[in-house]
Amino acid sequence: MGSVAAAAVGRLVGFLPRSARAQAGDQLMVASGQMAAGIGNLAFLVIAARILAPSEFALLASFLALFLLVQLFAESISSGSALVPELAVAARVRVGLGGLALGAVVAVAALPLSSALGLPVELVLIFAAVCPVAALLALARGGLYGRRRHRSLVVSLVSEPAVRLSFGVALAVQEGPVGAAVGILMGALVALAVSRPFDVVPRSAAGAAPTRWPGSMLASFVLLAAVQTQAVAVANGLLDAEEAARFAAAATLGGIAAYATATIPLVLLPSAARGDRAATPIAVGAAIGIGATAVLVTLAAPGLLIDVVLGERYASAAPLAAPYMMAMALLGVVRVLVAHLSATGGGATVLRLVGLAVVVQLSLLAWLGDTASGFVAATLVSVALLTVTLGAQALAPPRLPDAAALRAMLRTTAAVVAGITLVGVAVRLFIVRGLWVDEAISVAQANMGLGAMLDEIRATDVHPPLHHVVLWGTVRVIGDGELAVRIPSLIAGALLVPMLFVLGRELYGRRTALIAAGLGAVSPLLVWYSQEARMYGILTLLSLVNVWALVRALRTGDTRYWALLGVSCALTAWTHYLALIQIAVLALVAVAGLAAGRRDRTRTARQARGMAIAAVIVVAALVPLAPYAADQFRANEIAVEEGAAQLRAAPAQAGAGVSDSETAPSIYSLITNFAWALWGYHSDAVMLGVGALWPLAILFVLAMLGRGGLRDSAVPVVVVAGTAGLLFLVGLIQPSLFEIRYMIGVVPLLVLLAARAVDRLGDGRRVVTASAAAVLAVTMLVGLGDQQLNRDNPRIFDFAGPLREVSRTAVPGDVLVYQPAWMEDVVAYYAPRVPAEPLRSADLPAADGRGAVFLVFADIGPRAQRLDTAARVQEAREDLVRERSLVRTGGGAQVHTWEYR
Amino acid sequence: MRIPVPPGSASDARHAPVTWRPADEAARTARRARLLLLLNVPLAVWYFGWLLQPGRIGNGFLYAILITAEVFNLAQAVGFWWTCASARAPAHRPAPREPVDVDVFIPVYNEPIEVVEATVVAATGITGARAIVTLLDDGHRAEMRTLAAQHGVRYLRRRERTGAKAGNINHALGRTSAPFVAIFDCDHVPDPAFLERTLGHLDDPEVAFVQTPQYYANAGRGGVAAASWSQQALFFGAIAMGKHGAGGIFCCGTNVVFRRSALEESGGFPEDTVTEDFELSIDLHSRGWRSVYVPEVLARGLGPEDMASYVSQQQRWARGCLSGIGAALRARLPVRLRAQYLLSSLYFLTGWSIAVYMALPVVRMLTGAQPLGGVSADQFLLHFAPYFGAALLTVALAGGGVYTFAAFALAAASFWIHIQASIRALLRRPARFVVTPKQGSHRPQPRIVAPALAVMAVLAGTAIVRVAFDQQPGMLNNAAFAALHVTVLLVGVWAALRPARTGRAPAPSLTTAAAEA
Repeated sequence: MGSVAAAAVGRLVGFLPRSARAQAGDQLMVASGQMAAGIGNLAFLVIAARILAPSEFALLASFLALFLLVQLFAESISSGSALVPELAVAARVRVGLGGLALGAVVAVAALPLSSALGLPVELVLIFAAVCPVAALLALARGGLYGRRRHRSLVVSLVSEPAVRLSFGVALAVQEGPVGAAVGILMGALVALAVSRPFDVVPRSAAGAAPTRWPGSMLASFVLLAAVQTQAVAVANGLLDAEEAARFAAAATLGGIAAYATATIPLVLLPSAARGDRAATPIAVGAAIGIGATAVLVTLAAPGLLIDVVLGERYASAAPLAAPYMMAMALLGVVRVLVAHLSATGGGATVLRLVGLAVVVQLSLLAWLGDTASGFVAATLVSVALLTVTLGAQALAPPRLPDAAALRAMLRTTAAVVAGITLVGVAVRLFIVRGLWVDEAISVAQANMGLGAMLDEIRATDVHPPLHHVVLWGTVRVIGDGELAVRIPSLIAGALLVPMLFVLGRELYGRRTALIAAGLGAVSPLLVWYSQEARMYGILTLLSLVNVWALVRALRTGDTRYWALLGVSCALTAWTHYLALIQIAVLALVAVAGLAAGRRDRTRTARQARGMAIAAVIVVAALVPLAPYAADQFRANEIAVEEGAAQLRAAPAQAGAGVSDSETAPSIYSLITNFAWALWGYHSDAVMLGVGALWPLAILFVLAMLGRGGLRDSAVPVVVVAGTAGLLFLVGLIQPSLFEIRYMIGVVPLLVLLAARAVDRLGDGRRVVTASAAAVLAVTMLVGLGDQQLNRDNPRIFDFAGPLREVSRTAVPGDVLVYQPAWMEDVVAYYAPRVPAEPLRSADLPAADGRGAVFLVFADIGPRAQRLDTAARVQEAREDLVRERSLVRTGGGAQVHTWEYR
Repeated sequence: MRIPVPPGSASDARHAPVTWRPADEAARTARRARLLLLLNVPLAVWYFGWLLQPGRIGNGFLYAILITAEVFNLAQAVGFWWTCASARAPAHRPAPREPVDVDVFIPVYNEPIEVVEATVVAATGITGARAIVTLLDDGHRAEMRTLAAQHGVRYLRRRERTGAKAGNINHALGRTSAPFVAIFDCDHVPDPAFLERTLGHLDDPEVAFVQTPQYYANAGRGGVAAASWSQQALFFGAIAMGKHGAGGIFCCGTNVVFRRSALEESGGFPEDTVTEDFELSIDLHSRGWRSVYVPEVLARGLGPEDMASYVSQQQRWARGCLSGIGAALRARLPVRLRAQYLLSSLYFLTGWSIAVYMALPVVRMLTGAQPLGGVSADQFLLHFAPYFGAALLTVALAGGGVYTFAAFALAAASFWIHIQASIRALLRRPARFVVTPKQGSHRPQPRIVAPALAVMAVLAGTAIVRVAFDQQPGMLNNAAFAALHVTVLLVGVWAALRPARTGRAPAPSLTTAAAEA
């Protein structure tokens, strides 16, 4: 197996141009050295942990943290000397003196620092000695990068842990933490010695070397170090001890990805400065590859990883490990982009963007920083945003001189779209909510046999069965875990990002397309439905494919696009019945397009043939669906007539208090749905506030005056307005149906139109466009954060926490009683071994005399029903308290539990 | 055909190609406007039918003010829809086969010689008639006399410089005799085909004058020039073509050719007003003369490049047009022509309605009083949004996309000019010609826009302070309105705060008026 993979990699490498192969080889060699050094350092730590007492090890860990901090900031010096090795030579004395000065300050302040940091004075003095060594080492290593002395570099990287593991360990045994710290200092000194610090570097023959230090790049790398460390630095201040420890654990693990990718930008810098086009894609690929590997490993077994690296007591940090690892993996990509842009003349812009990221991260930390999850989210979001903006910046070369450059740009475009998609995937994988009622119903159905499932859906559900069948298949392959059942939606949500790019490029061009993809990656509602084990993720993707296929079909007349449109529409119809509204609108657009081009008879005839093919495919798909839908409709009618409104279909409009689902839709519900579409779901209070800001929409409309683009946007505008308008009319009959999830297909189109508006706002001025896009993206990210993490979001139902708690504490003889009855499947999912039944009005469940009764109540459903349910639960509690004692109350978002014994 | 260019002026923006061709859009403009009328009228009825019900009254005083502003805006909107729906471009009429004499007047006051020279040189190249070019020098400069001699054109100066530009032209009329008179501001470079494209319309003995667009060739420099051109383009596009269709295009002072007999019948240009062209048009129309608008760029001029120039221009237009209301009411005009003149004059009261809209959220945030009572935002939006949206769509579509946000914001930020001008007109304060410094300034001019800045400060300050204490939806809604106004004003005054840093070619004066106390 391994040899096959090696052969495949070899073959792949063989196809690369020589310069790319050299680049890949350099990156691989240095990254291997870095990995080896990392493993060596880890081994030193593990051994130190064994030979030192815990209190001594804690002192060493603190010392190492200080050392790491200095190294992180010294990395900017490395980057500078990597780019300008000639100047690095001249700067030796200054850097050395600067390091000495810093060391002297630390030494002079050793006593107060010792007290403030809780470290022995000896360790502070050793740290003072480390300062000039670290600065000179960074400078020397940078010079090695710049002169492409990669073998010497690897020796330098590996020598440091080697000394630690030999002398350091020996000294630690003798002298405790002070000895270990001396070993660390010695390691740095040896590494400096082998880094050829006194080499004379000839000026470049072309004489084109820059004559001054790339200050903006240095500053950018310092700020990147701040992005990596500032959350850790403030965690103890903002979080309580337990949460701070969780975050520290996640940060320690995430540091692996950051460390592993640290050398990549430094290897890249000299090549990028020389204009080697292969260097950046190779470096981006390497950063993505290493980062993705780290993320996948963490995703596969976060608990195990935490256990091995940090110990069992940090197990609660496991859910944070993967998202934080993603943030650090993205930071690796960011470093590469910073290096590329700085080396190619974009240093000032990069500095501004990185500075902005620091501010955004700090703002998010201040806003979300009451939990470790919030810290992780703040870091992930700010790094993701930085990745997107830098990626967009990297994608905007000034002019394209020739076809080769065009091909290079296309490759770069593909890389950036891939990067944005990766960000989208990362954001979507950051799932903070468990399954809710609807999802649990789908999972229960998917666990049946295929025939039984289809019969069940026919008899009790109100949706067509495509998503159920897909889910049935995935459950068979990867099981029914929380993440596994959401995989189809996650995949669809991830594909939506490049699809937005494709449609955006088709309609408007590359810049708008990239903005659209970037916004789509973080669009709160698109993220939400990418994380739900229901049909809306797939529906969204298919809706976008429909529009793209139609646009292509109308523009090219190619029958293949008409056929694709037919197939895609057919799948859409099999995913959700209300998608027929969008299909009807698309049909009208197609007819209008046909009529507009009627003067060209040949073309019109061809288009008409294509349209007929699409229509035939759709009709053929609808024919078998019709009796299925009719049966569902009849079953639904009978159930309603019998008063058994407990169909498996979940209550609509859950938590949509602002847009009152029980009255006819209004302009305000239109505004609410629009706000949901772009900024996601929020608490009723937030939505009221957002709705009140409608005058700002006037500003937006006015700002579009004279900017044109109406013709280009005709198709998406008509599809959005037509779909929403028709659903509005449907809502006049059945109010609960006028809700954004039933027209989820318009959301990516709105995102696309927003991207177009942002682009037009700039009117060719890239700074204005970039600023407007960044502002919009930031508002979306804020919306995303609030949607995902704010427990007041009425769409968030925390069934997982309370039910798992019940499952954990229940013993044989206990019984779980729940209300409303829709919870049956979600209860079965999270507490499968606890006997459970819905609360009935007449009698309470017969737990045997000694058994406990867990009462679980979810505040869900239409308002009247919720009141009724709450009253029933109150009665039950009064009954229970007569015979038992209330021993515990608990719950999560909109879910309440009581334990009676 | 190429415009003759003086040596060394090839980089002059006025010699750049023109892509704006409103004539091509006339039929489409009218068609769109008529179609949109089907939408606009019912939506206006829907909104005002709801708004004017007694149950809507909140604070009576504020309600009355709001209704006044809304009705005024409705009247302007209806006028705009009607004008655009009448848009028409006249069919071309060839110039007379027998060459006729045409006096070409170029009034000058203190403009740079290189600016005037380009116009003089271009005027000597006009074909299709025997053009007798005369430089009317109110600045009494020897170099102008030399310039005229150098290019073989007549030179006139007068002893008493009364009546500003109007007096200068009237003086020239008394010393020339051609049956037709073309007038160009000294920065407007005429196209050689100017008379070929216009004289044919004067074959009709009822036509007093033929007007062509006042095109700003320097719009590409952005800032004030671009925004003011956008305003001009809407006027000389959809609106002027509509006024032509309604028979009411008025003279705009430059790029125009008159029938001498009509001018003489009217007694020449009125000298006691700052908008002599506007009032002359009223007089001619009241005497039964007709006017024609040819929507082709036949002369290229320079628009204001900085805020001081723009404000000066707007103050003159506002003051003059508001003073013309009386003339329009007194003149014996057909109803449609009177309505067109009143629409043009009353436009300069728009600043009052803008002031009302900006004041209402401040009053609401400070006192809680609001014009509408017992009305939910939902109900208001249901009635207002479609009306507003359709009206805006009409501006966008009928204007062919020429009207930009920057133009809108610049107009909105000029609200105080309208208020100032109307108060001066009401108090019968004498109008003054001010020679506007048309050299584009590179320095910030915050004083010029001080009233707008003060209003922005009040709006922003009130919103920030009140929202700090109250985040209820009602307060947020009014703060959002305040933010809307602040943003629009900010965009409008931006050019005064941060003038373009790029180098500019010298921009000449648009006006040739003499200073007069």
